[in-house]
Amino acid sequence: MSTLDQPTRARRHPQPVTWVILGVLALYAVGPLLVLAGNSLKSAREIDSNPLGFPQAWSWSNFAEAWERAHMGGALLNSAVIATATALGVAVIATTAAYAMTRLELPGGGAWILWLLVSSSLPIQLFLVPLVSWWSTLGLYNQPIGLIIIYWAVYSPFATLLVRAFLVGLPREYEEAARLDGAGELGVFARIVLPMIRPAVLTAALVAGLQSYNEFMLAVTFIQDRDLQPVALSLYSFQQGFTTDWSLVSAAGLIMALPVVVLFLTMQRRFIDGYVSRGIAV
Amino acid sequence: MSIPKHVLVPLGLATAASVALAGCVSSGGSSDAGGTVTYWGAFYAPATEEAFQEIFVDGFNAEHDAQVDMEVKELTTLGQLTDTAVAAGEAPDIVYADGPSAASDFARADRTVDLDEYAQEYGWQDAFLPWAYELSQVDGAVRSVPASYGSMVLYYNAEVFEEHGWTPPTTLEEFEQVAQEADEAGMVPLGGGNAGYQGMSEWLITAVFNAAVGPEKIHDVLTGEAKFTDPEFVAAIELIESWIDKGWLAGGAESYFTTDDTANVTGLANGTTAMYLSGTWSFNSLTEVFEDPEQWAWAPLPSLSDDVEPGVFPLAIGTALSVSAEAEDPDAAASFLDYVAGDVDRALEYTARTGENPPPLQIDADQFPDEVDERTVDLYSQIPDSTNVGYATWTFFPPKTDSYLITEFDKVVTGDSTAQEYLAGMQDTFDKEFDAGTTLVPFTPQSEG
Amino acid sequence: MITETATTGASLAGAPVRRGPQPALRGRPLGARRQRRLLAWVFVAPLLVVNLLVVTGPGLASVYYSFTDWNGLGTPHFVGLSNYGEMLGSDAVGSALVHNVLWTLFFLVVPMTMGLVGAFLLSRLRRRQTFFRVLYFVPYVLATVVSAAVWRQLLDPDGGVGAALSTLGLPFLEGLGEVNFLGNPSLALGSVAFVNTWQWWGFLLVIFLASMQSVDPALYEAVRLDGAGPVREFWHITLPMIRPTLVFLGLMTIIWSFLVFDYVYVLTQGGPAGSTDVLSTVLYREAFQNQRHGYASAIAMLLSVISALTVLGYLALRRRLRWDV
Repeated sequence: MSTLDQPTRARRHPQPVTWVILGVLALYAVGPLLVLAGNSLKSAREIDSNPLGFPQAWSWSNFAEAWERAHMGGALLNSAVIATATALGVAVIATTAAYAMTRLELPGGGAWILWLLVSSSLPIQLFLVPLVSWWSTLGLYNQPIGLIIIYWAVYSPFATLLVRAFLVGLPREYEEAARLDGAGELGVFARIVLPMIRPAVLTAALVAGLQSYNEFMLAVTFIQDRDLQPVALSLYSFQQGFTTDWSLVSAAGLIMALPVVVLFLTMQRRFIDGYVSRGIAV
Repeated sequence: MSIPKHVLVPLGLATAASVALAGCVSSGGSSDAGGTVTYWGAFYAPATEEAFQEIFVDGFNAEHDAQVDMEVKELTTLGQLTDTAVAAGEAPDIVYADGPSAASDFARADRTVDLDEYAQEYGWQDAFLPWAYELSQVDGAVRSVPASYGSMVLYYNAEVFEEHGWTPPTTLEEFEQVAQEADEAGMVPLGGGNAGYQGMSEWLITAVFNAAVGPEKIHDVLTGEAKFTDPEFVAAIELIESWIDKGWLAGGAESYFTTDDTANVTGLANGTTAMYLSGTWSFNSLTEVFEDPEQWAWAPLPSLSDDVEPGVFPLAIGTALSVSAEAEDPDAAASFLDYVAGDVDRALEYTARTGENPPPLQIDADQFPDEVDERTVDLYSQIPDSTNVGYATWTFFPPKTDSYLITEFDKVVTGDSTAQEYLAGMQDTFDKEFDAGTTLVPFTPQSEG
Repeated sequence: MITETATTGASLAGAPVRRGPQPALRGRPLGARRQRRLLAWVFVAPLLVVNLLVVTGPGLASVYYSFTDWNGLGTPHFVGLSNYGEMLGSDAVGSALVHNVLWTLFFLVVPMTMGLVGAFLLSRLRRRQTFFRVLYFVPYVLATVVSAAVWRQLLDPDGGVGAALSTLGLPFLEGLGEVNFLGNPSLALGSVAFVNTWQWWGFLLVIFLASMQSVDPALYEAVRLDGAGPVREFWHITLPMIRPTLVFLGLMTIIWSFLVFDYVYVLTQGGPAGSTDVLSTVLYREAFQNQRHGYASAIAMLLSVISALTVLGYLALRRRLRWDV
């Protein structure tokens, strides 16, 4: 028993060096964020004269001004719809495709990986012209769903390969046991595999949703109606000719990041559960 | 967060229906009482947008059967967005271009219509300043309408100048005197840089070419009668090099690459930058950034060599509008162009409310409404009276030469390229475009004729 | 590819249908097999459709454009291999390629190590894991323009971190106030990579962490019984167990490094004097400033060839090492 106790305690009480490394990394991550927060509370002129110090007068009104000038309320809602649809769509596309590649008899093998990786190396900027004309023929131009479909296509190769990497590392015993018990292919997929790869699917969905939330170039090209525009475009509302109001950009940037941080916090548990609780329960 | 299925079904139907409807509207042709004219606008501030909407869009819609429908874009993206839309055949009826050169690309690809008959109908030849009207033509036919114009000037902080006992320089000697004293006072003598927007380099080059080489010589190069490699141009670039070496321009070579327009404008406001060569588009941002907006001031460019008279105004067209070849109702679109750019009083009302640069119309000083900022009136009544006008590179230089001029200038700043090498490459690029016949016709220098 | 078929073959051999003991049911395995194959195509169909429509289709169109002088607007004219000839002789493309390679090496080493070490340490925490994870991840959530603006400020020679450190009175920090990280051609590329790392490594950490959490805890218990410390756990359990994710992210890092655009464009636009130019900024400039879509398409083909070679190299390696990744 004593031999087993020791490592368990080591796991509960990490060594000081752990805390030092984690602390240094935290400082690196947070330092610039504090400067950003400071900027959002300064006037545009003060950012130039007092770049790193505390704001002299705390201009909380920057947030209200940014919110109003960039129509951020509506834009956040649009973004929520677009990001959610992207995340859900990519999760479905990637999970089914990855399952087909690793567990069903999909011919082709490595060719799929080659295709997916090469197609994610193409610079999408170059395709804007043909895409705009196809999308308008299909009635998808200037429609959120049109933009969402593009995001599905652009973000699914990475997500597919990510889920695939998890599936490859997953032992097949549970599935085979279930098949012996007479479960159908869909049943194996939905009831056995899906719960076990949930962290991977959630991560893939989160990444796709986030990328679509921050994406700018495709959004500005495919959504012309201002009432439908996502929040990533709002950050460009503070440009006056060639001069940018960085205090408002900073405020808007923080407003834009806040919902994601909150979402991330609330979804924590779902990321951590997964193999440990579900996998063993089966 | 879960949505019941029965809610989703009608939602899907509604989406399908709206897609179908949208298809009908765009392909269904115009109705009897005049069609719709689509327009993409981008504005400096919400108040600017509001003024445009009220004066031009609502005004036009009240007076005409055809209705203008404006979508608002951002200034930074409007250009490329329009390029993509035009190429994909999805352009709005009024096509934006950031100058006559871009507009001529659309015209040569037949994406915009010939406006000659409208030019006659609305008398554009007499309404616009001759040089601007000339630039609107491609192969002898009017293809676009200039909607705003401006120039390069020297900006300074009146308070700071007064404190140091400086007056706006008019000659190279005076200019270097002020720069020297500013340097000794710990200021950045001359604002500049290209962070955030590489094109800022051509503001400097436009100012120096016009003020040191002079409009006549630039005209000769653009018409193939002289070369960029001639000694006047070499001397002009070497002049810039000397400013960099002394640390005058943007504080030196390295900080040239990390200084953006915002930093220069705030530097003027905070009294850390003495002078800044920039365009008339800065009027608005200066007013915004200066604590006391009365304190920013402009002066005409000083002469930077013995060959050039002080006070040259390099002319630039900021916006050129055309009518898309796919416009439903080109007549209505052209009439909106005239409504926006062709009427002095309406254009000046907009300038008065927003501080935006007016179109290049024949305007007398007494036509300006009282609300227009004095500094704007001053500039826009001096230019039409002046015979000392020159050429902004982005308006008069062909696109590849202009692009070369911007990107390769970096090497002059870092010292990787000499003035001769830089200009030789510029001449090569220009020769190709000149031979291909895609250069625009520059007006004849007014001091000559 | 052979390994892949071998893998599926192996899983097939293990499948109960194949072992079906009763001769009476002989008809079923064939049907089940066909059903599995049909299901495979149904499962991969959504990916296939959206990708062909949005990426592969236009990608094939740019293969065609790369042989033309298309300006993005008019009619393209066939120009044979001249775009490729020009590209191969271009100094701008050559130095951009070198920058991409340097960028790739940097990103394979620095952010990967940070993400791996960070994730491993976090995976061993019971408390405060969420706190750190969110902290590290927030930079990834910020829009590029916003974080670039902050870093431009932090790297400014007059008002930035360098200037602040140089006033501390420590002799080895005194020179920092003179350094212009983004304006000095020999420092600019490294500085941009450093800024991009700040935003990027939290993303790697989250994925590594998710992967580490699916490692069976029993494996750790086993080596702990042997008295292994954290370093040995990391090398002998964590790394081998997350190898599929690790290899995959390594591949993606290479491919993404050749596509890097955002931070370079926002911070330096490829300057000073081309010292931070990468293939995608050259491509962007040619396509949208010089209106040379044909030539830009040729550069895009170069990007695809590089990534295809990378993937083929990986597939060959995989076969040799007998990974079923």
